[in-house]
Amino acid sequence: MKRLLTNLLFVLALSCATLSAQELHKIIFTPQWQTQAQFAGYYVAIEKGFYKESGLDVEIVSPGMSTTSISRLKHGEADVISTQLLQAMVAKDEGIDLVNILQSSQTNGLVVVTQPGITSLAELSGKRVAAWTSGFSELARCMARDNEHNIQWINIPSGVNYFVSGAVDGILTMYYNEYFQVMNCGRRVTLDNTFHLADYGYNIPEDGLYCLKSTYRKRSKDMNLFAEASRRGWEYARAHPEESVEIVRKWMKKDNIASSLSHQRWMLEKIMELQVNKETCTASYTLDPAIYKFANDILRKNGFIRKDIPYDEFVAPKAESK
Amino acid sequence: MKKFFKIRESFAARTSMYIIIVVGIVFIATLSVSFYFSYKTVESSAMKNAEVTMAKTTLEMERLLSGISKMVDNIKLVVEDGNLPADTVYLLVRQIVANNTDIAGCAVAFEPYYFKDKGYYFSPFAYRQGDSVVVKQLGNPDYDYFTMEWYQIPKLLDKNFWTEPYYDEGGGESIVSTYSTILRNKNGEFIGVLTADISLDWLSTTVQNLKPYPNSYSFAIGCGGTFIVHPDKDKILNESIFSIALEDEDPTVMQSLGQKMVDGESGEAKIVRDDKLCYFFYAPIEQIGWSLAMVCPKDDIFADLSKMSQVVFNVALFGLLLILVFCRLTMQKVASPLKSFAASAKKVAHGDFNVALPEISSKDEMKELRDSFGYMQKELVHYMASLESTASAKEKIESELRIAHNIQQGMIPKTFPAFPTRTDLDIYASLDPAKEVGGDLYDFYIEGDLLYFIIGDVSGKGVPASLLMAVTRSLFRSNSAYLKKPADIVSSISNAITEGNDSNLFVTLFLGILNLKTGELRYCNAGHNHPVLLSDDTVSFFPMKPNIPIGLFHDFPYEDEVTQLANGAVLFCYTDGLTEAESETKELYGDDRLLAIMQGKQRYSSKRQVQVVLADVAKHVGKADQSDDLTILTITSKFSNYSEVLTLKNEMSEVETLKLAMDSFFEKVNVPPEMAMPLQLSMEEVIVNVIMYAYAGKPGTFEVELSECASVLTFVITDSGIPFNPAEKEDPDITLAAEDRQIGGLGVFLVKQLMDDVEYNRRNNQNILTLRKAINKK
Repeated sequence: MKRLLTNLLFVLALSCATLSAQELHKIIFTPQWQTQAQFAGYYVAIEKGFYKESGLDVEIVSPGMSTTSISRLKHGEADVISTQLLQAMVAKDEGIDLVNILQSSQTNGLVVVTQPGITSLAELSGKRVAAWTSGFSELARCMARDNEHNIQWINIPSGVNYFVSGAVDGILTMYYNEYFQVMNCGRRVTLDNTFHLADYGYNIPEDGLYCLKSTYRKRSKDMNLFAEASRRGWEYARAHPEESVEIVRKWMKKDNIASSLSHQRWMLEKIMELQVNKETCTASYTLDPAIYKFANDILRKNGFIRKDIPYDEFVAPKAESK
Repeated sequence: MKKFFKIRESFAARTSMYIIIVVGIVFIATLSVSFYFSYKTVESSAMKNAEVTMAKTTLEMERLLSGISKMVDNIKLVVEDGNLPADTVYLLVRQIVANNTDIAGCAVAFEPYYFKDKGYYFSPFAYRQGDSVVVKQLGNPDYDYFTMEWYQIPKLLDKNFWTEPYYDEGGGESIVSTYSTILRNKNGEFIGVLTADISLDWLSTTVQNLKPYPNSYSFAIGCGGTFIVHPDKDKILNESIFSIALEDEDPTVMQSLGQKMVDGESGEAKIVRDDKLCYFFYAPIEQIGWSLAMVCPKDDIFADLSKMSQVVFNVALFGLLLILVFCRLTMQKVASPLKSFAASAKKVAHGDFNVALPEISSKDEMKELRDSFGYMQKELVHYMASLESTASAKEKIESELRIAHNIQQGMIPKTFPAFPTRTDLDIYASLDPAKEVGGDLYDFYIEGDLLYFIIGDVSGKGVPASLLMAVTRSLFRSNSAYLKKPADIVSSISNAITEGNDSNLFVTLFLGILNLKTGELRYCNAGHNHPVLLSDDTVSFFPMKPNIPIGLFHDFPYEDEVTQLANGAVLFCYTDGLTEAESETKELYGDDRLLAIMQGKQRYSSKRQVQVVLADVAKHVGKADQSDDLTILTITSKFSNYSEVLTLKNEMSEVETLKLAMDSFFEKVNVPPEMAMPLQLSMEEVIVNVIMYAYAGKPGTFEVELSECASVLTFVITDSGIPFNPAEKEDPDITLAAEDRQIGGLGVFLVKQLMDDVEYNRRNNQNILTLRKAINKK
């Protein structure tokens, strides 16, 4: 009896000690789409305990069909979000005061894929190219405008069935997502039918982590720790791709999302590729000022933003100094 | 059990093994061929079956789908009617859904502001909810139907269109496809679409039930390869045939099959799925662009065949075993007598001729074997008996022959020297029959001063010849007692033999009577070969008349011949067994060889002459068999001779005595002075040996005889000491230097060199050394 009591006391003391020692700061993170390998780094960071090690309790909440990650950030439903650079800049211009704390994507991932027979963008003049209505297609439209490709843009919600049915001559895809489906739908598409926007002078990076400036002021340490741990997650994913795909699929299953192994593998592989700067061949996870300026100018030119957004107002200080 | 496997040692085992091997090969060949054809049959019927099944299913689907599309196409006429009021559309769509259980939902979507009062979006939509039908508006800012596939794609394609299947918004499990038919106004312009949503549950069920084999499964893909029906629910609308191909080791297999399916082809292929070989059948669902596939594991298709083959194989194996056992036993039964035959044969070989043979009940080859064996057994017994009697008869004959041989040998004078005391005659003879008994003969005796001698050869050899030889010899002895002329003696013998000579045997004969005092020889020849005459150291053939052998003609006029032999002449008589002695190469010894060997042998003693000639013949004959009886009779006539005998003591002083005696002897017989020295030396050497060693230190005497006849000196030294034959001592090697040579032996060597002949005899416990030297008279 005495033995039991002493054991109990010991356990209690230990748990108290544990509790007091670990004060986990809660962070709600919303990626810009449903669970998939595009956000592998974050799921890996949770699974491998990188966030916990940094004293963070991270919860990932997907945006769902009706909302965007930016809107959730705006409404305070998420502490940190992932979104594309251009969307973030447009949002900033619209008044959502966000800052960039991590720039995971270093290369643009948009690819125009054409039906067999069309081997140059010029040939798309007067032809139909499907692009999503749900955003992220501005860059392609800008490019078409700038080069006077008289493309007839067909707005589509999502998916590749327009391409499969032959209703369109080309389709705008994400290199890491729809591109895979388009290349594997039996339409005999070859690499000659693919056109990476990055190769045509529109190499604007995409995914990055953002939080409200106000959040950053209050919790800069947490934000930086989150960015750091997320980076660790990405680096782990780079080193252990198969394991990371397994982790992502596990999370997808939890969210009742059916996943295709080969698709997720492709997605992770391409995301990793796009995280590497083509010139320096490194994944810096920071936003290059020159490239930022380039993005700013394009948006300005095409009227997506009303005024220039200075770099240091856009990128969080700690992240910048790297 | 071990015996069972001793195949090599058992006829039954070996033969049945061969049979099994042949039968086994035949089985294997037959089964393989039949299996091959069965396999092909099963395969082609499975393919046909799959084709038919798939065709049936796709046809069913096409029928259903085209049925719906036709129906929808018919309805649109109503809608296209420009006078149709907007609200009627609601009724229309409700009606369509209500009246068609196949249709899960129906919508009519119009271009913006088609009905001006209805606004931007106008798309009445009816759908089934439980038992009732609900109608609502589809279009709103949250649902911009203008971009939806079912609206925009047919619009862009300007064709009626079946969408790719998708999950129904209402429930997660139901897969739906929408058929959109284009609505046009009377100008042919696009005004909207009329859609019908079809639940693909029935498709799912039908495809799932497409399971001709227990482990086969089927799936369907849409226009882009995406799975729309699949046993693995997770794959539906999530993976395509192309995306799962990427997970394979070799993606190109499924990729090319997927491409064929998407292209609307039908066919079959062999693929590997989960390490198992499977047959892959595919066929398109026409018009709509989807495709159906069926995967059938090979094991399933051939399951029955495998089972059957297994059973057949087991039966064949069992049968083979049965054949093996049956053959083995049967053959063992048949061959078991062979074992007893073998055992019996062994016993017979060991002498038991009466061993019992196994009984054979069959009337076949085994019975034949047994009968032959029994016959052989009986014959063996007879043969052994006759062999025994023959052997004993032979032995008897042989022993009798041996006796005959001894008798025959007893008939001829065999003691030599025949007349030791006589100094006027030296005679020696030798008879060597080819078989135990022979037909050669010689005989001699002295009566007074006359030497009667005979040498002869009966025709033939062996017992017949020996009998005639005995008769001839007896007749010689008896008839020469009273007939004093050689011819008379010969005639009498001849006549006696000729009578009753049915066998026509004859005898060659040379008969002579030598006067020992005068050297006169009277002789008669009867067909015998001429003797060799050594006279004055020359060799020639003794001249004589040939006449004919005795025994052939009655009263043949044989005639005497007379000649005077020189002093010391040698008459060397022989039979043709000498000159016709065959060598291994069938070469005869011949007269020439005889003359050659006799050169210079006059100075030899008769015994030595015979020895020398026989040795030469032996050398010629070598290992060949003796072809004929070989007889020699050599006579030396020494009617005029001079001899002295000295008896000396074994003291060195006697050497001088001898020397003096020899000197006087030499003078008497006219020995040339130059020869005296070596002769003295030789003699001295010999007697010194005798003096010193013969009596081993004890006193003793020895005799020295010095004689001369026809220029041949003969010295005979006789002692009674220890046996010593100097002639047999090896000549020392005189080529060696003085230091290297062995001490002694030179004396005897000297004697041998200086004398013409050195002969040693041992008789009556005496050493008799005879030295001879021919002297050249002045």
